Amino acid sequence: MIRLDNVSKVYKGQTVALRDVDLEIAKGEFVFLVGPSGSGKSTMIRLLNKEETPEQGSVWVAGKEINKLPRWRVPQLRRNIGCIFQDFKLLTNKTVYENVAFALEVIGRPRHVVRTQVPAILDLVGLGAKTDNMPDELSGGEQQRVSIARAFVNRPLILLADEPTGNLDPATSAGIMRLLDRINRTGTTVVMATHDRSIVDSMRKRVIELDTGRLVRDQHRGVYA
Amino acid sequence: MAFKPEYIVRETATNLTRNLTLTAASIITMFVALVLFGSAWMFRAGTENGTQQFKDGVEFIVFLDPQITGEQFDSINAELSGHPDIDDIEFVSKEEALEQFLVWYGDEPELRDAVTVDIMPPSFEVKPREADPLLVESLADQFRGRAGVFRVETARETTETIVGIADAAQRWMFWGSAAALVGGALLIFNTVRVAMFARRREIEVMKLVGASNWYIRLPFVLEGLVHGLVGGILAVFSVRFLRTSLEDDVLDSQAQLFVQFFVTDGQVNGTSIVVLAVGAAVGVACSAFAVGRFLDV
Repeated sequence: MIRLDNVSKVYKGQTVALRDVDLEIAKGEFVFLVGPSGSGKSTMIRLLNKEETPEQGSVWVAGKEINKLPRWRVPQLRRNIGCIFQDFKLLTNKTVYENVAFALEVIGRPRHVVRTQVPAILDLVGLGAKTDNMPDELSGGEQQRVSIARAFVNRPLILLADEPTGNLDPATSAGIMRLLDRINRTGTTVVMATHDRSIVDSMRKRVIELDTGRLVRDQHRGVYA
Repeated sequence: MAFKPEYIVRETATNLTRNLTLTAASIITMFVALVLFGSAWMFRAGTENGTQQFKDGVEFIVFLDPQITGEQFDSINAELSGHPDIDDIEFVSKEEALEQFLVWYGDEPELRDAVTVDIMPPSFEVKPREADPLLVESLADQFRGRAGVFRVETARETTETIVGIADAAQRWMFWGSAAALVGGALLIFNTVRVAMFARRREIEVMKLVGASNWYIRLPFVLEGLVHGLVGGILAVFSVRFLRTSLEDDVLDSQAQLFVQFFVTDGQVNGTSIVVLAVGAAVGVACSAFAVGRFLDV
């Protein structure tokens, strides 16, 4: 599903974010990206989403070498990738329902699809009763659930999560992880960058550790360190 | 991916209403610029019409010295009447000249009170056989400087004067409209930029979920189009009103000379189309440029 061949990414000012990374992630895997701040976790997420392009090497996603993808085909790629973030990135002027529906509307999905899929996904994330609430009326955990619903409503092949529990307390984080695990069980590949030792240790999934841009550990059923 | 018209219309309307003062400023500036542009365009059509009229009836006028002797008068009259290249002449006496003067300037007391019949030059209005400017000029030259002749004026000279003034006026109007259009263009550019800034979070989400570039850009480009087009529509109404009002004024007054400058309905329609096209083009070009410059999708 995902393959990185000898990938390096250097930002302006010669900051090396990733250095000669080789990696392969199969369909349906759940992978934790761990490492200290500045180790290259977020850069890897951004490379997989084609928000960044590597200086060297190839990035393959769903059978396509995305670093050679023309700009006009990037939206098509992103429809197969859901993204969730530490800061949720919800639209504060829209209700819970509208936030999730927005993701379908802007890719031109018909109205009847929006009407059936949005309530279903909101039920899945446990927010079926809060469809008309505004984001600022929800707790942090609930906001992250809306963000997950929005990322997953189009049934993407891959879910990329950049520190999704970074702003949440341990109990809420556990709930979010149960939700991501549930999504993973539907066959969606999940790649999650995190600093949260307890989550990684309790889940015992594949762990890829980065340090100053180098891949230093790739461990199945691994722990944080 | 098929566009959803209701989505595009809704988002464009949101952009337009989110910052009403900037939207109004853009539209008003475009309106002023396009009124100037449309007026200049129609003015040019009117000048062409007027010039055409002069060309069709080329003639010259021999103004006589108010103190002309009978002998001098007879000599000039005989020469004009018997000239093989002259088709017709008409004598305008001092009294008739004053009458005509009072028709034109009777409403202006300073001018009216300053003239008396004694100082009005009698004249011969001359129609040559051929409306050839060279022939007219050569005929006029034959009477210039003659004893008893005060001045010889050809229609061509008058035309050139009017065309010269009209050209200068047009040039200033076009420059004025160009400056105002640049102002309008910059305002549209900034308004679209502000709209994009206000919606940066939505744009970010749209990019993340895979909205196509044009799905993101179109509402902003349409916003610019609406600014230009609404300004253009208002300008078209104003230019049409200006035309009707000016022509009514001319018809009401005795300044019948200017009837020749009236524009046709076809010319007004043509001007309207040009004004709308310029408004739309400026609006779309500026918003598309702003979107291309600031929306990295």
